[in-house]
Amino acid sequence: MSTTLQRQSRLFALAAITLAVVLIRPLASRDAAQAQSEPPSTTELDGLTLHVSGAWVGRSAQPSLAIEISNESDRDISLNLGMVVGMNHCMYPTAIKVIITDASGKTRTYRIPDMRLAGRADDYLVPLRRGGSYRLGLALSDLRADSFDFPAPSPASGKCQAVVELESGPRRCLNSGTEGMRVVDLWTGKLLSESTEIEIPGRKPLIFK
Amino acid sequence: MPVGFHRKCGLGWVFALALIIVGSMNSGVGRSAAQDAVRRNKGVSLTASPNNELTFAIKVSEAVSPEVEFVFKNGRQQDSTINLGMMLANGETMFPSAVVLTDTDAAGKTRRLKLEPGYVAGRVDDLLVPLRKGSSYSMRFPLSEFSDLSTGGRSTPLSPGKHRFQARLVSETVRHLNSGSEDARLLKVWAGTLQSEVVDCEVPSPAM
Repeated sequence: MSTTLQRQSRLFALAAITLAVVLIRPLASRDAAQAQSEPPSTTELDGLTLHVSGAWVGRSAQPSLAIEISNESDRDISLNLGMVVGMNHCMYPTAIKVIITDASGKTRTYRIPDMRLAGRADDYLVPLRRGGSYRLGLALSDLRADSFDFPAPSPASGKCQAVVELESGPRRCLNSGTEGMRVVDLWTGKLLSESTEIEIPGRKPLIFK
Repeated sequence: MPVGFHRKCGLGWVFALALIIVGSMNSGVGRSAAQDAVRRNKGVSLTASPNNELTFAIKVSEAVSPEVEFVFKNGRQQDSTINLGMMLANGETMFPSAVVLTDTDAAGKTRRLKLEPGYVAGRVDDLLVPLRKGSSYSMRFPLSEFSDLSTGGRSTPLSPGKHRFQARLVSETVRHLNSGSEDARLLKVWAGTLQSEVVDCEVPSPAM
């Protein structure tokens, strides 16, 4: 009786291990393939450059990042920076990631959050003529940590190093009536800016003495 | 008593009017002089004229073959999209044909310059530039690429000497609708006119 049970449990264990190997192996190989196929980020690619600097903008002078994408190549290039909603009413450069390393050496990735919306979304396309540039400001308060942690962690106050990554990809938002727009050539690739130092102010205390 | 009172009131009004006229004249002179000083000191001219908080500025480099730079900035509290002209061959070539550059030379002769293709045989899309609030967009090109509208599109080189430039953008809603992109007409595009300020530039004589 006990021998039969032992044999059955062994069989179950073997089946479980085989199943785990069968399920996990393709995932691992896919990750490896993705890692191999993803091009490395560079500061200059196809004549495109990405620069970042710290800035203080707005009436309340909130800390922001000034991001500039320049086309130094000899051809015109269109970029996909994310998405626009409400027929160009609001623009979300979701293709831009900000990697912040705080004073303790902890690195986190932040980005403009994807809008959970019910309605039409279009791609945030920026045509960059040769010799042209596009400059946009991102308020640090608009950025959210690219993680599932709750509550979403915010960057620690003090001096930090910030690097910006742009991943321009093919069209994601094709709506009925604009399917023909997919023929417009878009630049695909990753760009990484040089590092810049920013200072994140501390949170204001809730009770003032 | 009433006569003296009326005389005093009348004199007061005349004095106030004179003050207003003199003040406005002084401020106007001071402003233009300051702008001229900035232009002279910079070497590269940069001006901007606000129009509904979207601004358009031009820069002209002082060289034998000058370069022009258009800078559009969205200072509004909302995102805006402007239509600068057209793109050919699925975005391969971009022409800000909605901008007309006016060039006035030292003799007072005025030319209207535009950047547009010689001919079009194929698909044309609008050159839509999304400007997030606080963002700016710039384009730079040699002046020799512009076609002269007064000579039927031919490009003529700049004569040496003083030149005065001003640019004007007429942004319209989506104009080029292709098959499969008919709903692009629903996109919100800022419609209006932006005019840059006048920029002075001295074109040097070519070295012999």
